[in-house]
Amino acid sequence: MKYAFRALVVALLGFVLLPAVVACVSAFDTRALIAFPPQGFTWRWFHRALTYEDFQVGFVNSLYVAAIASTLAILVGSAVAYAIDRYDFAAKRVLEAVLLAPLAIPHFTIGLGALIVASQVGAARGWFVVVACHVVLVLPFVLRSLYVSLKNMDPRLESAALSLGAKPGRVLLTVTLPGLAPGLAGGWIFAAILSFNEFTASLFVTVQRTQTLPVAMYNYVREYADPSMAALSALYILLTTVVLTLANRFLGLGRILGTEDVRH
Amino acid sequence: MSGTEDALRLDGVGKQFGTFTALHEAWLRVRPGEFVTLLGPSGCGKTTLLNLIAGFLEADAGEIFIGGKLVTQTPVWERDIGIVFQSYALFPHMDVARNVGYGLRARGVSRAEEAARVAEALAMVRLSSMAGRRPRQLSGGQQQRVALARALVIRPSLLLLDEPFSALDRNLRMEMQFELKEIQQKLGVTTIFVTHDQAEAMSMSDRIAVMSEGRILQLDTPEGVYRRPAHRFVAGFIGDATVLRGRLKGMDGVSAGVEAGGLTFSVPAAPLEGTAPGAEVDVFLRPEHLQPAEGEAGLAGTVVSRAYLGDRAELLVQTEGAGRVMLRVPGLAALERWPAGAPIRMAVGSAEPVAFPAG
Ligand SMILES: Nc1ncnc2c1ncn2[C@@H]1O[C@H](COP(=O)(O)OP(=O)(O)O)[C@@H](O)[C@H]1O
Ligand SMILES: [Mg+2]
Repeated sequence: MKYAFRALVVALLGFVLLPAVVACVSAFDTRALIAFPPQGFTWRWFHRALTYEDFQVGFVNSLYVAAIASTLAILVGSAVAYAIDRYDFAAKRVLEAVLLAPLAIPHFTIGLGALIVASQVGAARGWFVVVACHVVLVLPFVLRSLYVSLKNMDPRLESAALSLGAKPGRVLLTVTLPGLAPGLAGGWIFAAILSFNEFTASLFVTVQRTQTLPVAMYNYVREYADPSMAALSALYILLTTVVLTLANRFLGLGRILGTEDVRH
Repeated sequence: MSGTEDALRLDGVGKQFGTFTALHEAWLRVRPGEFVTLLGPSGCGKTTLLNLIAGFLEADAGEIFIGGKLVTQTPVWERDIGIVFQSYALFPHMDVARNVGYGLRARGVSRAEEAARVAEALAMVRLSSMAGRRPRQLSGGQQQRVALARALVIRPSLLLLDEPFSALDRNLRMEMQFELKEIQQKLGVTTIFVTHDQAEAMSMSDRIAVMSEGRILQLDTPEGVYRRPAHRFVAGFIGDATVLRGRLKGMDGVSAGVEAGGLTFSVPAAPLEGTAPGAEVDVFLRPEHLQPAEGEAGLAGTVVSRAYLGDRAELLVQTEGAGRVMLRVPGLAALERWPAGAPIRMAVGSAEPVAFPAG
């Protein structure tokens, strides 16, 4: 029984990790096409991936979009999560549903919709539509992360601060926000990673000038089949792993995802 | 502010949640330096009343005065109160010293004065060595002492505590009760204490407000609520009472004679005002209201169970035809004479019980 369970875990892990492993291994192949098993060893494809101009531009674009979109999502999300948690108002359920809706709507629908709306107002070729689209896509995750932090915070903390003579603004700055800091940081990092990896919606709303890294990669594979893609994938995995490890080290993922109760 | 002013006065304060009345018009006057406990079962409106005094809830009716000043419309942060909650509510991202100094910083006190007063407050609760710790590094009792220091360091005109010790185990709870009482008396701070634990209320309070279903039923000294309960509910809630059905035999202005289970008790007349002789009454019997009788006299029964408490024991006795009663006897005698199943005869004890019209 115990061994069967272990075997199952190993099989599952293998299944989840297999594509990543295959991609990473192929990245070192000396042949100019993606194939398995690999032959030889070279850093050549990494070099190409890092120096290819579309990738460089796409990488910078992605960084900007991810940073701006997740910051905006945090600002909107914290205000909304706070309102939903602390106040009772008629539109509360509706607001919650609308903000969580992107989870149920396919990304291409959101991208297409955003594109149609943007071209109506003549903004189809700009940054605005890309960022706005990403904000909508990451907002549900940000909301969840903040909502969990708020739920885990004892409302008596704010009551105690008020009773000690602190005005509401001071309480917000000295008690509420510091209490939410892990949730804010965690939400921001998740939003940034999601945005950085987002492809489907971005395909609709980006143009050559505004294309993000995943879109640049897609355009690349349509023309070439060499392992630079595999090299880039390996770099992607490395970057995300580093960010997540740091986030986990300093913030605790269980806490951010709400899988762990922080109240003792 | 003159010294004769009430430290706290509630004039008909009431609170509704939708159509549910959580607090019916409450009237209360608390003298400076007094320790008053709001006592009642869970859900009777104690926290609601405390939150109204603190300003976390807005009263639907009535006026609240703190130190003679009308504060009904005053926001929490201007009410000059200190609060201690059951959940401690210490700020997790600040160390103990910064927690305690929070109210001083909010008041714009200088750093030097903050440091001095925080040190003094921590010494008062015997936690000087913990100043640099985070709250989660402290035990429950220590956390609650920090919360107390934080509430008192601002020298509030009113100290409010909502079931502050309910999360602590029994021994620690008793230790904390003594400590709080000692500090409260030393500082002379007017205190409103909320609990559902009658022993806690009895041991600490100058006066107790017994509450039930959103009403203050009786406001009296611990002895008053224990010996002269003004209401059936109070008689049943304070102490371990068993109810014996009986008949009113007669009364003068002060006391009444009641016959129950073949025994004749003398009880205060006031609760039976307007009851006709011969009418049915309920006698609230506590363990000290009965004593073992020798010979064939008294109420006969059989010991159902025995709680040995060292110097004394409490017996639960099944009487012949009058239900179950509790009886207090010397510990040694209980061991020798009254194991479970032993027959026993009981007579009227030295203390006087109370009786109410049968309900
Ligand atoms: N915000 C609220 N909304 C609706 N009902 C409430 C609210 N707060 C308290 N109540 C109700 O009021 C009653 C008294 O509550 P509370 O004052 O907390 O009781 P206690 O502290 O004595 O246990 C309870 O029945 C409770 O359910
Ligand atoms: Mg309560």
